Amino acid sequence: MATRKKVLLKVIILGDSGVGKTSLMNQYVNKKFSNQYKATIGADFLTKEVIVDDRIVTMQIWDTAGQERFQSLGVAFYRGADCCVLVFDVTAPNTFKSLDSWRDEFLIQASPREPENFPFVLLGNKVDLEPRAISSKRAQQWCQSKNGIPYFETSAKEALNVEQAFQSIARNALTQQNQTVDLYNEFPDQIKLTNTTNRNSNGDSCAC
Amino acid sequence: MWVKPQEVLLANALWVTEESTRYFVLQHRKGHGKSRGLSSLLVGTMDSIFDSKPPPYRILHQTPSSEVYWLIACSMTRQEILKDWEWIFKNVSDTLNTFDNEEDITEFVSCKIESIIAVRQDHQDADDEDTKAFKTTSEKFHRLFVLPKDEKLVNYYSCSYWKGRLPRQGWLYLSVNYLCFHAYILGLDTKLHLRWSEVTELSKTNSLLFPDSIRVATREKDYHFSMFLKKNETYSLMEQLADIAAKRLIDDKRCFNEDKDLLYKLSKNVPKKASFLKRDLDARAHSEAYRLMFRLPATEKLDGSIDCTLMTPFNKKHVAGRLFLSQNYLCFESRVKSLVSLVIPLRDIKVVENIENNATNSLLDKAIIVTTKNDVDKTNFLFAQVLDREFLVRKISELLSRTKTPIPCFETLSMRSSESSTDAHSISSSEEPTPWKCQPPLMTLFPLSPIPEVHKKQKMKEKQWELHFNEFGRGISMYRTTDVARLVLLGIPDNLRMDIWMSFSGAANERASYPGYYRSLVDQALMKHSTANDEIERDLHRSLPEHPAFQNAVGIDALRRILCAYALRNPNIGYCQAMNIVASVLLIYCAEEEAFWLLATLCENLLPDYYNTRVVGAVVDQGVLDNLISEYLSSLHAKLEQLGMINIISLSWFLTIFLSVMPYESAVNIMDCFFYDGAKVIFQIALMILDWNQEKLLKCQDEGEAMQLLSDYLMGIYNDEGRGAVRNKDYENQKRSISIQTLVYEAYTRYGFLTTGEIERLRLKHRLRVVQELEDNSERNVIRSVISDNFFSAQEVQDLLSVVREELLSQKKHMPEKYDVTQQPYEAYKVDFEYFKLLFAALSPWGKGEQSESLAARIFRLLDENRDGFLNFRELVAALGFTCSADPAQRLKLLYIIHLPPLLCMSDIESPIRNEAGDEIASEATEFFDNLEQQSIVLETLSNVSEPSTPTPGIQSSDSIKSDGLLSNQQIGAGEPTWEVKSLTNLRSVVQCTDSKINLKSVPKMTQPHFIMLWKTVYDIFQTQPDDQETYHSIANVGTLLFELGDVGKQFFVNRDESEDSLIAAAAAVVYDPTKIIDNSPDKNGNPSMKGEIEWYITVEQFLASVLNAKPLVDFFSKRTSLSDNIGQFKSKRFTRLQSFQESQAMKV
Repeated sequence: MATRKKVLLKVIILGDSGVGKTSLMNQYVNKKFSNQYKATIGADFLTKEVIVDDRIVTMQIWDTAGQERFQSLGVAFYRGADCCVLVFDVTAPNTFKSLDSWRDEFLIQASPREPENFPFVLLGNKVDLEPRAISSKRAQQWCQSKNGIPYFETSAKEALNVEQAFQSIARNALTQQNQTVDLYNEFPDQIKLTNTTNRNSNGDSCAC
Repeated sequence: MWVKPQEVLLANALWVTEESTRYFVLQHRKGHGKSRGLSSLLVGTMDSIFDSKPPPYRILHQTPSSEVYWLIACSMTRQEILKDWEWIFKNVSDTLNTFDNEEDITEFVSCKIESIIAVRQDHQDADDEDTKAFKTTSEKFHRLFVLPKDEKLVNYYSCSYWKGRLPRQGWLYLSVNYLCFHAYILGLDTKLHLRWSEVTELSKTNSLLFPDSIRVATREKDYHFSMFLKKNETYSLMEQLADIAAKRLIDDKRCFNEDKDLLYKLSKNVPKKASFLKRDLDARAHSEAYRLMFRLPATEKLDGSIDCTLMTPFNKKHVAGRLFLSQNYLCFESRVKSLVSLVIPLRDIKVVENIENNATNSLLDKAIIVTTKNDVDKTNFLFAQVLDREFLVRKISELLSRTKTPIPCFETLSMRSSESSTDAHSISSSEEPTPWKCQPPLMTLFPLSPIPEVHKKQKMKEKQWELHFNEFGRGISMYRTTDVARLVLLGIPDNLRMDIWMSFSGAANERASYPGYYRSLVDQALMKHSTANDEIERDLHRSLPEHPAFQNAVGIDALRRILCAYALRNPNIGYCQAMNIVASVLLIYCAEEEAFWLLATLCENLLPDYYNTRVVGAVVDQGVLDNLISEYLSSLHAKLEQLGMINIISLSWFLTIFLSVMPYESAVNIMDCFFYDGAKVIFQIALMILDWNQEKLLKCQDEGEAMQLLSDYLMGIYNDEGRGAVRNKDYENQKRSISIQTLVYEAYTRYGFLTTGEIERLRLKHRLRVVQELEDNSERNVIRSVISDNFFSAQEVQDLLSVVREELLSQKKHMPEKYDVTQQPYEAYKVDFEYFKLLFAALSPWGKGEQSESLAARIFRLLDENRDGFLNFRELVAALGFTCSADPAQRLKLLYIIHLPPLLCMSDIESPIRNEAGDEIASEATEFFDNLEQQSIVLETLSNVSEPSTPTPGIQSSDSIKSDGLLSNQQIGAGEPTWEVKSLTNLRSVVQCTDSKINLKSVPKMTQPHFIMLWKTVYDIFQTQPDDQETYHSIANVGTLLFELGDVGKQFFVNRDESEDSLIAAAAAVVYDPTKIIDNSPDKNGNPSMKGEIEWYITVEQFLASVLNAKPLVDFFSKRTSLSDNIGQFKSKRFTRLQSFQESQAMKV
């Protein structure tokens, strides 16, 4: 990873079903909104070249299935992520409540070296809709309690704040990649979800 | 024949050695063989084996350094003795070389021989009576392994268990929940005892170390068994039992029940086997294979099968094969694979007739004609050379007499729906469902603009099918041959899809069996409010948005109906994303009710467990695919593994049968094959896709590139024969990779050898693994969720969890509902008071004295936060942690608090609690819980609704979850909580709070009677400590000191009370008012009026300060008790105690 010449940032988008993950990704990458997306099954992804601080980087954005039952599926591609984007729907309180569990699950599966410093970004999507159920303040507070995660209020439909949010995502991911030379534990055992690796990753994440 | 090994001293006196090896000698009696005279004397009875006159042939065993020979076999004939001689070479000789010690060899040999004799005798017994010998063994099994009475032994086998490098000859017992092994002799008693639900892998191995053996793997260890007499039978039974256990872990409701029908089955020639259960399991396996082969409903049980021929009118031949019969179907399969097969539902059968034997045509000997009539047409089927014709005809008519015409009514419905969902009844009948009607195939309502050449192709295909129908019949009972397979591979024309899918998938059978079911299911489902329905609603417009039918209310409503109806039918699945995509495609081609039944068949039979709450089936199949890739595309496998991709790509392939990754008009051709051939098609296609892209994939740098490559390829798969829903202007410009017809054809050509049987076998293997991983996962989550409380190490928590888990599993009734995602992981494992009592006594240092039970009861009550009569795992860890590992101040705080009302009331003090009375406390507690139940429900709902506002800083100590709960309890406390609830909540918060000193001020003062009880407890706890003068001295000292302090307190009572008010104000954390308690407590608990007693009191600070000054006491209360050691003892104690008891019983018998 560290030796990769081309700068490639891997970004994972997580959040409950129907909060607009696919729409956000498509709005950002293809600059268009459609209400004709199918529910994402498994995972999908898009790439985009962006310029961050005068550097050209390729952003690989992974879109995931949101239904609860898919949450803990051995999500192999969490590994190696540079940034994790959590999305909730500002009009649906439940999607806000499950943020904790998405974050926890990500940290377990991805098991980054320093879980407390891993870059997350929170997006409150669908701000174009009424009525709002989660106030900006509440979302901010949540972010504060999680070591100051950046928070953006977006609308994939109106293309509101999407660009800015992803800029920040890219920057955070890049900083993270520069800071930590080797962000992850040993790479070769990434795929196998055998007991031993489970136990190991368990041990790591429990150390905090 | 083998004999019980006996010593022979003069090995060579009257005998001639024919052959000898290092350990064995084959001899015949002198003079025998040549001289007829002698042998004729000996011919005759078997009894002579044990007579003084030995049979003329024998095998002896000896070791080089030993003088003693052992007679192990003898025989009347040379032939027989040679057979035994060979057996030794094949099965025993090699093993003996692994022994170092000669005595061990002898012992092993004699043990082996004895066990063979035992088997032989058992078999003789088993033949005449089903159970006698079996019952004896079963009893022995229960005695040996101390298992619950209802644990059923299935079968037992003689074999060797490799303990280290030594094989131990003994018996393998297979029961419904356990695999047990017991070895006879060889120095020690070897006992082994595994739960099927722990088994992670089963395999047959043949290595140098463990020749020809069966390996059973658990998380901790591998076990090897070898030298089976019937290895294959043993192995398949093991597989079956492990699979049942795994399936039960997936879904609790799928419990194993004996099939009593088997007992009354009209049958003959069914060989009696060792146990009824074994027969049951065999029957199950056969039925499953039968159902798979003919795509029959899951309830169908195979009754029997018989060889015969089938007249095939299309080529005027008689095809040899086998006829299968079950309650509702008669099926036939040719002996030559896939030559022809046939499914005839009994409901269609009108007449079954015998045909007179025709002298001129022996092919028609013993023939019967089956005449069917259904809505399609009237057909005759001719079976001949039915070996046991009378029996078959009788059997069919018996089954026919039981076949009922399905009643198109609510009777069937209410029965089924009450099975599937309990809350279906809650719907009031007064509500009128909104009227709706079943839609025809949506493609007829939303026709796409016709494309002439496509139209022509479709018509041509329809014609081909018509011709085929004319020749082979149509509907369910068509003759299924390779011809039809060929047609299916080309893609079924749109107009015929529904009928053909329905017949081949078996969905037509389900539909015919439950007329009216769908309609009323929909009526119920639409009025229900459920999470599933919400989830469905969210996805309706995200299913097949490209088709005009789903841009319109007609299509959306139909989709809603079938998904909601299915969620109601099968609560284990509810709604899983991906079902929406599958269902919407079904609706395009099929009428609504048909689409529903196809969906049901798909979810329940074709893709078992795919869509349940953990998507287990799909994860299992990912494993299967991984396996297949590594077998057939090994270099690619390495690459994909390196990229970590297999699981990423395949999930959507499986869950949507490629519908979400290809243009649906292409993927629908795969559906054609899928309904015809089952899940194996998905694997064939998947392998083919990878195969085709192998070169390019191998060059990919990272998983992103590979994903892009595959997704481009898949989206470029085109179907020129589709009507073109996706055809827009750029259809022609779109990147085209391959036509679906080519893909399907190639997949069948290259990977057509995959069989359903092989897939099933692989599934079984991976199911074990996946289920265990899920278990690990949930266990890991539990441990993680409690480890932050910092009472115990991860290892200790894990040990404790395993004990609790074992207990839950053996109780069966409280199987943890581990897959309920809405609850905290630790909620899944909970213990009742009975078990907590045992754990407390065994694990806690406070549990050693006489008051153990009473202390346990009070701690239980204090910590059972939701008052449901169970401690969840986290509460359990806390309960033990506060007494085992918390810091001394905290432990003392707990000790103090459990001697306060309401945990310890005046009434309890007046009649001191003995051990027997402990139960009473528990029952009191239960009553108390019952009274509060109503209220607590209200509390819970309220606390769920109210958004947790920012927690008050004081309480926000170590964790937020608990304080959230606390807070909401207290907020509502303003409502109408009883005094007990409030004060318990308060006390709990005091105990749980780790640091805050201020907090202590809110702890009520203790009166003299309570203090006396407290001090009694201290003595009681210390009783079990080694007698130490100094300790007792300091207990007495501290006691006296506290007494004096209590007296002193009197004088300052008034002052103190005043000052406390200000302190309370400071302790804003706890919404609590001590004066209120003092006011209330007398009447609630029958305490004597506080006003008089209050004059003597001590405070918790005084208590802590005094005790913490006495070193011996501090030592005791700060000693960290190792949970793991105690758990080890606890486990072994439980086991050996029961066991030694059982064994002493056994000795008497």
